Amino acid sequence: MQQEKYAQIEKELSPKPPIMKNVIKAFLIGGSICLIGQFIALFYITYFDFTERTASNPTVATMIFIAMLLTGFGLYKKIAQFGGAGAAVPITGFGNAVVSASIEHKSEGYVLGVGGNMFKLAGSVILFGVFSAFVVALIKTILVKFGVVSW
Amino acid sequence: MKKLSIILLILGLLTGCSEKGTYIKNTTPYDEHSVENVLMSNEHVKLAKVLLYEDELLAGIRVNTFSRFKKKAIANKIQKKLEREYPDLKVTVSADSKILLETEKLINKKSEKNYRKKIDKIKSIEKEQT
Amino acid sequence: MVKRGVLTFHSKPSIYATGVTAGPLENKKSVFAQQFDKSYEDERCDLPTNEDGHKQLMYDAVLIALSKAKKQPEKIDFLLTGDLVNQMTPSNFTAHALAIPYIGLFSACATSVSSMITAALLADAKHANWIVAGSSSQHNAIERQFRYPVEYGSQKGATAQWTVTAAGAALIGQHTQGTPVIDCATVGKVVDMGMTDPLNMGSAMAPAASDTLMNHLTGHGKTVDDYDTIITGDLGSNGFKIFKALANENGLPHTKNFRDAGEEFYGNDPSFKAGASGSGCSAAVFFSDVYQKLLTGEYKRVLLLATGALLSPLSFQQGDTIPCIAHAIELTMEEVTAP
Repeated sequence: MQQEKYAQIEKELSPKPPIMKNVIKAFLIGGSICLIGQFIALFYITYFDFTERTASNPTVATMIFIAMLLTGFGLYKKIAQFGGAGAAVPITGFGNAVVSASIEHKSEGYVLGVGGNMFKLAGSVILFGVFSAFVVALIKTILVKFGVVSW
Repeated sequence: MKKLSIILLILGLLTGCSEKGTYIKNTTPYDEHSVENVLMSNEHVKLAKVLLYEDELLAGIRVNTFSRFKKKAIANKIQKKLEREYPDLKVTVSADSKILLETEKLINKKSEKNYRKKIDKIKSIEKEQT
Repeated sequence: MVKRGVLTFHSKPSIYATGVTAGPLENKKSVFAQQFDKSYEDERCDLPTNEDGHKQLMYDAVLIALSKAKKQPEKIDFLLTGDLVNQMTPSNFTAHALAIPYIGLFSACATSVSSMITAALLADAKHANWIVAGSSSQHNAIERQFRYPVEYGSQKGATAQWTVTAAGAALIGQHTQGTPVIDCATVGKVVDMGMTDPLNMGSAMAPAASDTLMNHLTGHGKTVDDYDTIITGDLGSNGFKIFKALANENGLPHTKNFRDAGEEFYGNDPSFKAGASGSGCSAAVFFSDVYQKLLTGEYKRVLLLATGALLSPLSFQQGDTIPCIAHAIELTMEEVTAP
């Protein structure tokens, strides 16, 4: 049988991913995570000397800490299975990627195992995050120089 | 359960932020009317708490939801206008809700004992970058 | 004329005993849990690492199979096992602990059948009296080998399969009455239909299963109705559906007696998506459910058709397709003739 013909049969019989359903689930889970983050930020603004701008740092740290606990107790993968991108895109998804890789490679020791593999999944997030921030800053700098927008 | 969640959702949408207007506490001989004029003439401002104390003018503002993206520019504009109106005062205008919250706390305080210390503190955290 | 890949064992080697071990989740969720010989409270068998637990599963399965036939490891001529971890270390450590002459076999999830075929060849050629064949998999160790860390939150689609924590071993020896015997077998060719999704292995493996099934039926002159059941290894619900469609297309209209171990393993529980996979899946089902049904006479003649996806994490990341293989082995339960 030809590969093309098989690909056609396979496509016909395989279940289609429910995109609309996944998008709604991702919206709900991602939205809930951000809502929790907003409450934590408000907590830091109200009870500590943080402004809206400076509160983002302790908020991110707290969200990652919560994600770390959820990952360790095996709950985050269940949230992610339900929420998909909604659980992967917020900072908690990044925390989950780092912590899960650390747990996985603990058996190989702390230096080569945990240290060497911690950013196995999250490394590309850091690389492309920094790179895209650089590109955006470059574009904005040029636009400001030409007077199109202001800072 | 479904009905309850819909009702909660509608209530949440309706209640949002309902406080509006300009609240000014003036402990100085300066006239506070031009502050009110400047703030009320800006269509983006929803709520403002202003405190005039000794040589300080402290204003915390909240802008309309969809103006939040340019709230820094709005605060800067108001600051410039107020500086023109009150050349003798040190003007601090911020759209950060922390400043609004702290200014409100100061306004509601009965004694003016710790005002100097508190105002310095608010101005210092307002300047913090990270 | 020798037909390529088609084997007939004239001496009809026997399967004397089997041993199946399984992890805690399998004990709780699998429909075959009652038929497993041993299960563990802990998925690592109370050992420090997943790979240690993987080794323990295989080791215990072999010892259980031997103890049922009252044999010591010293009496066994060959050990033929395999798994999916890099360089098959769990099998290698098992072989060291048992100190039996050993050949490690890799056919991915088809190792359960490929090891039985090799064992039957050794027994048929009178090179050995007692041979142990088997394969195993451990969920955490294999997920780490092929996919993401276990705790990493990635959304799995409906075609994804769950690697089982289980091991199965069979003690194979010369023909004896009253035991299930190995009649014939077919060694499959590698079939690659250009599938590239490692989370949809069922549809990659289905053409290999269909190819080997057709070779076996034509090579041995059999029809589907000759078998009480034709049971595939771990196609999963999606792959199994495609496999049946391919069988229909190849002129096999009846697929009533087809079963799939992967689909049945967790009783169609939707939280396991398309079903079970892993080299322990086919071994555990063949050596528990199918073997016991042969012993009780419920099945007279069965065809075990284990399928394996021969990919590595490197190969699919480099954009290669998933080559797949399927091996078939035919077991019969002979009527015991009264002495």
